[in-house]
Amino acid sequence: MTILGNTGDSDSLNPVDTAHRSAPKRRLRRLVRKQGSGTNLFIYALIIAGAIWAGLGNASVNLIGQYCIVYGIAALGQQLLIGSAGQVALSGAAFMCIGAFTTGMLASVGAAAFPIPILVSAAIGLIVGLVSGLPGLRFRGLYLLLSSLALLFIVVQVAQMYENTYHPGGLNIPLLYFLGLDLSVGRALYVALLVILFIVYAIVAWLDRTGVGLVWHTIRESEIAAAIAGVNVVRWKLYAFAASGAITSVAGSLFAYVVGFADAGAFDLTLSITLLTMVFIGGVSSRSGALLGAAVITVLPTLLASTMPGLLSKVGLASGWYATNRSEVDAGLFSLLFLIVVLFEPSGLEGLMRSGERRIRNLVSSKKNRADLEVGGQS
Amino acid sequence: MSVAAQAVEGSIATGAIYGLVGSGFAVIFRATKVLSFTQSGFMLVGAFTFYDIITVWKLGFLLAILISAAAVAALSALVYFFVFARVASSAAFATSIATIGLAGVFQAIIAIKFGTTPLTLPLVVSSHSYKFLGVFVPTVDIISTVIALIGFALLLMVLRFTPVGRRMEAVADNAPLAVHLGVSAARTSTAAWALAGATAAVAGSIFSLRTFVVDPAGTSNLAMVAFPAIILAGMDSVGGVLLGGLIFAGVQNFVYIVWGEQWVTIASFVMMLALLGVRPSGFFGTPDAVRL
Repeated sequence: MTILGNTGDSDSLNPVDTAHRSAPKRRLRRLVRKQGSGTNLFIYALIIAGAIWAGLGNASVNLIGQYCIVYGIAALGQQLLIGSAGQVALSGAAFMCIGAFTTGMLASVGAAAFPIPILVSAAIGLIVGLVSGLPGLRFRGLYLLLSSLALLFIVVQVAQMYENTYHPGGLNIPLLYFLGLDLSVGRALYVALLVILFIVYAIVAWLDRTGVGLVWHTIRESEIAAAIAGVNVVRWKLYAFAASGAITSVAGSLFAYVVGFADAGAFDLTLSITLLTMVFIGGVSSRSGALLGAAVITVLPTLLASTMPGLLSKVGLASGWYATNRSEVDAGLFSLLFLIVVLFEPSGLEGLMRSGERRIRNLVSSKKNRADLEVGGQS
Repeated sequence: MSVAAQAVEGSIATGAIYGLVGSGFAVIFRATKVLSFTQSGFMLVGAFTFYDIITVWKLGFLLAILISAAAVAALSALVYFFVFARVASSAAFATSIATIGLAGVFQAIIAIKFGTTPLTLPLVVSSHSYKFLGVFVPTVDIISTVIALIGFALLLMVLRFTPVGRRMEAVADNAPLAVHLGVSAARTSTAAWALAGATAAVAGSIFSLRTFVVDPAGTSNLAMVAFPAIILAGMDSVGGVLLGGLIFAGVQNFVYIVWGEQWVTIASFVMMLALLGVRPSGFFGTPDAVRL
């Protein structure tokens, strides 16, 4: 897929320059010199600072932080499929629905001791991903998009039927307790979610570094090349789809915990598209980009709500206009953002930062080269 | 017996609309290899333009459909030319994904302007039903089916007999060769988007006409609901999609009668998954999917 550009640049290290330095210093220098290190550092610093700020903030900031984490996990799941394996699917909401409903159903049979619902959700997400064996996986691009759309409609309709029959009005989700600790609201819930995000992140990062990740990357770069190298492309795409489903299901389960109940109506095509938007806006090629995108898209509505009325009255429009049409305007803006990013800036915010960093580096190094030349000319 | 006959009547009326919806997708897909989800947005815009013309300008419904089709065709051509043209020629798949975003933009604009609840159409068509061989045939069903078929026939004639249409066929058949022989791919694609926009507007209008309301959610879902019909026919078959629509509407009605309404969605999309597994190029399409 052409929209997934290769971003890893080789470092332009001069071996003569560093031969006489000590090892740790050299390693540090290499890290600093590597193109992209500044961007990575900046994004991670931003995410960590945001996480700390949200953790220390008041209850409403805390709540937004909780949603950021839940969507962050979902975005990690989508990034695994889009960024690592190079496949785009519209089934994100379906897997979140599976996670939420698994949690609700376990609660109604009394098996709700904390880590169980999340683990079972992940397992069921994995199984649905594998069993669905989407026919689209045998082909590239559009067919997977269409069959994942079909999966979304089927899963949500089944969930809706279950809900209508057994729990009209939605499934209740119990409060979150772990080993007698009350993690149901506020900062405690926030920290619990943060820990889970960290675990999921570590698992995905580890998976990506093993041979599994390598196979997925090969498929992303060229399916034909992967097939020549002896990779069973269809099977490994299915594994990527299932793994992505498992992680997204975990996010769905946590989403249900934060909201307090599960309703099939919440898991629609719009949610799938929102998840895709997060991944594309942050930058498809890295996990930090997915987290950044999730945070941006989750925070943006709140930010708009506080700044939009003032902005509109300056332009001369009635400031109440935004308040009355808030959800529609937000949806429209997100769609527009998605359109622009996919068409014109496929590597997202991260790509913008990287190109900025490259420009600064070029500026610095060209100045340095010129200085070197002048020194060389004098001697 | 009469239940089955009534179902056949309903299937023909619904299937004709599905066929018209699908033909728009097929025209764009043939010309540009893009699956344009924006068609659902154009249906919405078409339906509400139709509503506006009827309620504000107080024109007849036929004229309203024509004006709406022309307006949406122009909008569609402009959208392609200014938004998608540059990227579509090199990255068809990325463009297909981006069209989802544009559909969302149109949905939001319509929701802001007209709200999200269905609006009742004034009574422009007689609500009289004819009884024919024990089957009730509402006047709207006759009118909407006839309009759908006329629209479909016009589309096929444009593709078959006009220079623009011939060029489109040439690009669909062998794009590099057509460009080499002097056909402008950009102009042909723009024309394809305009044609598809017109069919979307007509489909949205007659869908609203048939249900007597202009329903934002229902109209934008129409495109999604019609996907199985498109897959059944093959994404690049303009002619086959009418038959695909009729068969699919028949299946839906069968499921509705035998198992009930809630199974219609599930059965439709299970059928679509099965089709994608067995015959992804459909029954009338050209099998060019890259199989591994």
